[in-house]
Amino acid sequence: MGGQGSKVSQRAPMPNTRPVRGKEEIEKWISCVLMDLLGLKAEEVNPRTPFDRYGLDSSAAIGITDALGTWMGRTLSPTLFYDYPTIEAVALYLTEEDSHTAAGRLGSAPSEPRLERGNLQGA
Amino acid sequence: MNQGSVNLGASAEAIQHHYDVGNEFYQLWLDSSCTYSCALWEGNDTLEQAQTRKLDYHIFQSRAERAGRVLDVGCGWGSLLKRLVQAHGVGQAVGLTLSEKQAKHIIGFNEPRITVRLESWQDHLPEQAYDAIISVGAFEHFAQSDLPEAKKVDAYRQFFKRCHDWLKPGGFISLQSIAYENSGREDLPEFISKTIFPESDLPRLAEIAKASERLFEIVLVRNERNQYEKTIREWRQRLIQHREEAVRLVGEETVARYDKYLQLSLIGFHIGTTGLLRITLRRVTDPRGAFPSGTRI
Repeated sequence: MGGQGSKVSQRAPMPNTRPVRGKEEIEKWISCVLMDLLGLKAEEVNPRTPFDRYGLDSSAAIGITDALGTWMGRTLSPTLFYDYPTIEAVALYLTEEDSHTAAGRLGSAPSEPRLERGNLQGA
Repeated sequence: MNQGSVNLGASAEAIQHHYDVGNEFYQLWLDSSCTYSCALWEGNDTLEQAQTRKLDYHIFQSRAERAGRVLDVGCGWGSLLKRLVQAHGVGQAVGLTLSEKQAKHIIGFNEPRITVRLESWQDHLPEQAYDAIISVGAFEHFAQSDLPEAKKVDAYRQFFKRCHDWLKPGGFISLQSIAYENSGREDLPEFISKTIFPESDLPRLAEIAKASERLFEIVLVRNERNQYEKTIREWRQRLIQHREEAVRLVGEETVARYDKYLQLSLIGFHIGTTGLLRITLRRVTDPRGAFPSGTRI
């Protein structure tokens, strides 16, 4: 896989360069934070387990999302963990978003999660 | 001088705890009219346009255009009062608030067609009947958090009884409030109920319906939480943009507190634990059985 250097050079110019984080790296980061915050052991954290099974409440979700955003160098929506409710889903979303940005595609802002599920329809 | 009823809603102190943090602080992140409630978004509206659209919506729904006298219960920083008299030809707009800073701000308009009163609706004694009543983003404070269900509906019914007394025959209320949807009082984070909005519980749609039965007909209900999600995203973006200035005005702790509360609220509207109701109610002319026999209305 190309290193961070080659990925950066493929991007459209951005006002602030930010670190490029791979899927596994993101999963590991979130897992570590959950372990720390909730006092869990490594074997109790699974990338496909829904966040609410860990007893993660909205205050904690906000805190983690904010820290994740800082680590990734981007603004993340506070609803991220609700739209992508597992560690794996968040990591996939964030790496896809990054690759879209790198390809210079237009679309929703990085901070707006794509609402692909139908359960958020309203008037 | 109230009519002997106990205050079942938030006290003046509880209201001021939130709304008197500082006008300049609110002006940093609310829209330029300082309207602190869910906007009504259409098309490519800016926040300002969406707030104006919301105000006009309630004015239209309450049939307040070109009315003689309109009451705004929980008038905030007066954007609706202004809109009523300056854009819709209303003769007299009366606003009620428990926030001293809001009242002061409105007095500063020096608009003779606007009267602001620093009093609860429970203590309000109008000089004359109103043609229309509007209440946007205030109903959330009309019942305290620890009331049993029956008392809560009772508190709301008191409000509708007073509105019924105050309105001319054929008059309308246009109401807007956050409501519990897929949640209950036990789900409200303590952070919100103790730190942000003390002494305030949200209504349920069913409670509003029960409380207004046979006093008002509910002619229209809109429940559109995605509109509040969008509004809060805008507010939060502005707060973040002006964070340094906000910290200078009210301190880091308060800014962090508001940021957290905006995020939690945003999540609630996003996932459906809370909803946003816009309700139009028409006054019942001869309520049958709404009062004990012999009671004069």
